[in-house]
Amino acid sequence: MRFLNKTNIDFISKQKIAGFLSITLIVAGIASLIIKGGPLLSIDFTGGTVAQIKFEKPVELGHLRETLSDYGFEGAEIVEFGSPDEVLIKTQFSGSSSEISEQLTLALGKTFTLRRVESVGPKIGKELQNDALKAIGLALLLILIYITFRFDRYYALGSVMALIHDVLITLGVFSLLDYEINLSIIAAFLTIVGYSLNDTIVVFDRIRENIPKYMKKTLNDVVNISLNETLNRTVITSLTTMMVVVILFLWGGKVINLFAFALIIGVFVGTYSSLFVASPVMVYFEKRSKKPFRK
Amino acid sequence: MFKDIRYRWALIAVVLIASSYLIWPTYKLYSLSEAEKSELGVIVMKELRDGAINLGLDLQGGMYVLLETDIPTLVEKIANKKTEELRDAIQEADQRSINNQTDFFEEFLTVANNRELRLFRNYNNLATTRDNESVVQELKIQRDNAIASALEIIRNRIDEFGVSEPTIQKYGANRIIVELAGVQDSDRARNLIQRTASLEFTLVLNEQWEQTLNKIDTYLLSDSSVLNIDLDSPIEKEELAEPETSGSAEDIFMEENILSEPTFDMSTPAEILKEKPFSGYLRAVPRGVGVLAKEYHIVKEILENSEVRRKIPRGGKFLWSNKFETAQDEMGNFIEFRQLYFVSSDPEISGGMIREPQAKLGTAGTDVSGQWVVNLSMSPEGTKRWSRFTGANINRQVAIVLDDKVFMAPVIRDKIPSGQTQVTGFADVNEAKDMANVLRAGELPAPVEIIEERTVGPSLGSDSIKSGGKAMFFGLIAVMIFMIIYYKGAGLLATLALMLNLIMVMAVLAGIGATLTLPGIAGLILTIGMAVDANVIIFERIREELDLGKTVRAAIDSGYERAFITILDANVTTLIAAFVLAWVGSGPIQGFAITLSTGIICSMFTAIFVTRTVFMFFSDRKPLKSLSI
Repeated sequence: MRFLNKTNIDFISKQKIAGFLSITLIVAGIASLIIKGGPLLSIDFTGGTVAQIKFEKPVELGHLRETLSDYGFEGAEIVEFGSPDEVLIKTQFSGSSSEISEQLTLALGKTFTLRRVESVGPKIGKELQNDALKAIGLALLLILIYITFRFDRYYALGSVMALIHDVLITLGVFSLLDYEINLSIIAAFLTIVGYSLNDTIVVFDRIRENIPKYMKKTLNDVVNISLNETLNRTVITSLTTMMVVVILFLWGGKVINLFAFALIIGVFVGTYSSLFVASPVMVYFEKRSKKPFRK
Repeated sequence: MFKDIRYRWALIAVVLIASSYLIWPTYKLYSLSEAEKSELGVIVMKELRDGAINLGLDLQGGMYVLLETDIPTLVEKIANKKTEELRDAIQEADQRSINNQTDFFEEFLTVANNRELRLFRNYNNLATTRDNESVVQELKIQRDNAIASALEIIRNRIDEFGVSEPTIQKYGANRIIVELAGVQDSDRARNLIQRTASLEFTLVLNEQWEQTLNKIDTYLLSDSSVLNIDLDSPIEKEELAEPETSGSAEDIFMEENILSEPTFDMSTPAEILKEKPFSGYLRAVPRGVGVLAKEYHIVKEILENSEVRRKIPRGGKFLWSNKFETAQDEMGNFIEFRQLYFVSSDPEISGGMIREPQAKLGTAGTDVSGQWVVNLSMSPEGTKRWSRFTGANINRQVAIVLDDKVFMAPVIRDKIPSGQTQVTGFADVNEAKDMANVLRAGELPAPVEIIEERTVGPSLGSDSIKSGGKAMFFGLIAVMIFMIIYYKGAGLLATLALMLNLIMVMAVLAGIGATLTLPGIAGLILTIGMAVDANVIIFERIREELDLGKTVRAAIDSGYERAFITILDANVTTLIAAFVLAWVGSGPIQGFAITLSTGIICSMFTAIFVTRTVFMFFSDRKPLKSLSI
């Protein structure tokens, strides 16, 4: 069985359309980020408290909001979580979480079970934020060094541009949909980085192999040949990864729902970027360099 | 040596046997019933647990708490001469360390030097040389001691709490991580950990109630802006809004006691609040004065108002009891309330003076026979003070205060000249033991606060396991079916490699004593998707080589050889991301990174080495004409 037989798609010539598409998506995301004053950070980074509670029967959110605001939860964010009888209460309620559960019991009686309470102090939030940025920065730097070492710096540029592209788009989608960034989403971002690179490297590897093989062809042609040769693999791996990620999204439970969602976007965008972003960028810089592999 | 297929099979066999050996405790542990577990005994169970993959708190329920010592307060506490200059310097150093995310002591030294403070003057109780540097060095040692004893105290308390496998560990220089797996009564655990500030015995000033209440009422009547609460519509709380009748407890407020007013609403009626905007909320309860649970936050707000606080007579302060209680009134209605105390703000005994508190069953033959009591003794200084204090205050109450919450307020029966004290009035063994814990911890050398807390209920944990397991099962099946349809025989081989991969990952996780968390399961599931990538790369390559007209054997050989470099490069980059996560990330993220990187590394073995061995096995026996791929 074979999905794609001997394809001959001219990927490089599509870079204008692809570039337009990518830039539109990125600009939309960044615009949303600017309008909303940065990404929507979870309490992991801002400090605060989130309580997940399950009621015996579905509740009306408006009513719940009113009741709770009478009990010191003014301005608390209350959203349904997965099913109509389960809600997430996000609050800046200052106090220990035992006080929160006390207060909730006072407000609601014994009609609910407290499924999860997480409260993060503002100081720790700032630290986690630093750690997350450090992790992403460090990962990018190390990857850049590795690729420069294994290929050359233009390949490194191309692949890092591709992953910045992927992370920006995923971040933008999260901002547009008003989804929160928490610690596990950061992990998802780094996974996207790893996955997108994996994809890109397979293509780059083939380009590296093909350059001495097709001495008479231009770099554009070699890149196109390589992309087509690896297209089957790109599609199939994306497909198997997408299958498990979608399954994780559907059945993995509410807690990792957003994590799985980030991965779905990431796998999709990562596949796209290794075809339409990484290689064109590499070609662009390689052609302008003083010591190119091939003009 | 790996050209010889026998060695290859041998290596695969070794890996399989080692994996099975490592997984065995995990399999055993989670297949045992509760009865079988208790039959095996503590030691065998501990061995099993140590060898098995442990479930994270998010999967089995429990609580995670990150505690931090308040270093600036500690540094101030240690000083035997507390000057304004010192306080200012400590404050500035604290601010700078928060802003610059630096070490407090470094900043403290800089600030002290900049201000030309001679720290030795404030800390001549420390055995150091006179320069600032060595004083700060000594303070650091004091900090370490403080954390060490805080750890011991928390450990001691947790042990008594009876959690099977608690994690209590130092994290960084001044933090403590506490993990209590499977803790259901998280409130009790939380209180046990959090009970860290100062412990005091202080006199209850019942005789000052009236005067204090009058002052606050008068003030509130004159300035209604404090009460931004709509008095006309008391907040409803259904299960408490039951018919109410006369009070039963002794009436300490004379005719004002609103419990004597028959009413159908438990909330304090607005007419009373118009006259007595504060004391109207207070009610007589079995052991003193209480506030209805539903009105608690109103009263709390009033008491926290800075103007109101000024009206409170010097030398006294309001303190809440440590928990809400329920009591039945004469008509059998349950009221839920929290007790309020008015106590001396000048405590008589501090925790450091208390020695060897112990929960015990009252001695037979005495009037506390069969009841749980707490015995304690006092330090020499404490004994002197205690003797004088108890002698002067017979039949008055002394409040046992921890973290500004009153745990109990026993009545002083007699003068206690020896320091040997017995506290009575506990409902059960837990109450007595917890009280002994409170007293034993006494005064933690350093104030500790909870800066991060995550509690997961057991039901959520088991839901997560179920859904994680389901996702894993479906993911595995989906990928397997796809691979077999797409690559036929070779696909079947890849799925076998995939299963071997999962077994290996589990074995490694058990071997390194890792904890499986929900993000860890997500990492495993992602591994399922990504581990087949190596096989996809190889199989596609072999197909290409076959298309070029190579023989089966040659196609296999060059397919594997060419694909190897690609797979290596591709996996190394993913591994870099995973390693950084494992290194910088904490808790759940680490779990994710560890399973993902283990999965990738194992997949290099299963997807390349194992599948190739099988290919070799078939193509060595007889030259293959075609390949099922």
